[in-house]
Amino acid sequence: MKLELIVAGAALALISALCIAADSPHSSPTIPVAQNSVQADAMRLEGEKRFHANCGRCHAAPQKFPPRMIATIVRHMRVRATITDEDMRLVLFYMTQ
Amino acid sequence: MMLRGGFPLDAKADLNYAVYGSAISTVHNNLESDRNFGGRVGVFLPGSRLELGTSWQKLLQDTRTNSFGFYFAWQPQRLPLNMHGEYARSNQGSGYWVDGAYRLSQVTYWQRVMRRLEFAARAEQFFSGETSSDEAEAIGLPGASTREGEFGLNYYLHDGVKAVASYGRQFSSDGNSNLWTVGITYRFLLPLGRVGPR
Repeated sequence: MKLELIVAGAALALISALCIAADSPHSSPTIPVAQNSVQADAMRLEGEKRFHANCGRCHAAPQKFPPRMIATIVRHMRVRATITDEDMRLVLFYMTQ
Repeated sequence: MMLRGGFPLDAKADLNYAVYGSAISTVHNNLESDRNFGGRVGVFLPGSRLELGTSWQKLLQDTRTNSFGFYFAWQPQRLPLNMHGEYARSNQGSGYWVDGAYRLSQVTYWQRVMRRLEFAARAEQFFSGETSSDEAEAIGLPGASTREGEFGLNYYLHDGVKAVASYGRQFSSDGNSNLWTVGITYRFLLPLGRVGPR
């Protein structure tokens, strides 16, 4: 029984380490930068679409918060809602730009 | 300890997962836990706003039993409809529930009221397992096989404030009963830091 628990714990630790290592360049959610206004509009539209597809399943858009606070909230919500990294970045762009 | 996340499978599907292991804890105040290991995996289709998933848990003590379940969640693009359902099975019993909520925002008259109103319905059934009725009730399960149907109205006073009223009927070999619910639910977001431009 102890062996099973140790193996399970070790497997979880290994998977966590691999995921953290793979994710490390993006560990802090920074607001994506658009190269021009056309790209910004496209990203905003896509971000809105991702917001409605993911976040809108449970709640409406929250009240206005400063970008830094939104970045923290989105980071937490990514864990709660298990959304993808790409979705998180586009939603963050939509919420802050 | 839990590991959870999500990543795109392709342009039309996202996969989300959770894997966890729990050590035994006898600390009271809601910190009690069994030694177990389990996980969940779901596939979300953003185009159709449909999520399908399954979960599994192995108890690593006492009876060392397995439990598993399947769930779905669907919010069609064209209708303000929200559907959820789940089936779960273990040695303590098995059962399913399905619920749906339809926001009356598409009704063309009394718009000010109708867009805030939601009709909800739920059906569930539980089949008793190997545990005795006393043991089942001690862990919050019905003491006997049970069927239940419920419907109600939700009124959104504000995005985070909802008034709810429902009526349901429970059928069980222990006796049938009516279920009435009236209440207000409040969901809030409380910033701990200073709110303002940075």
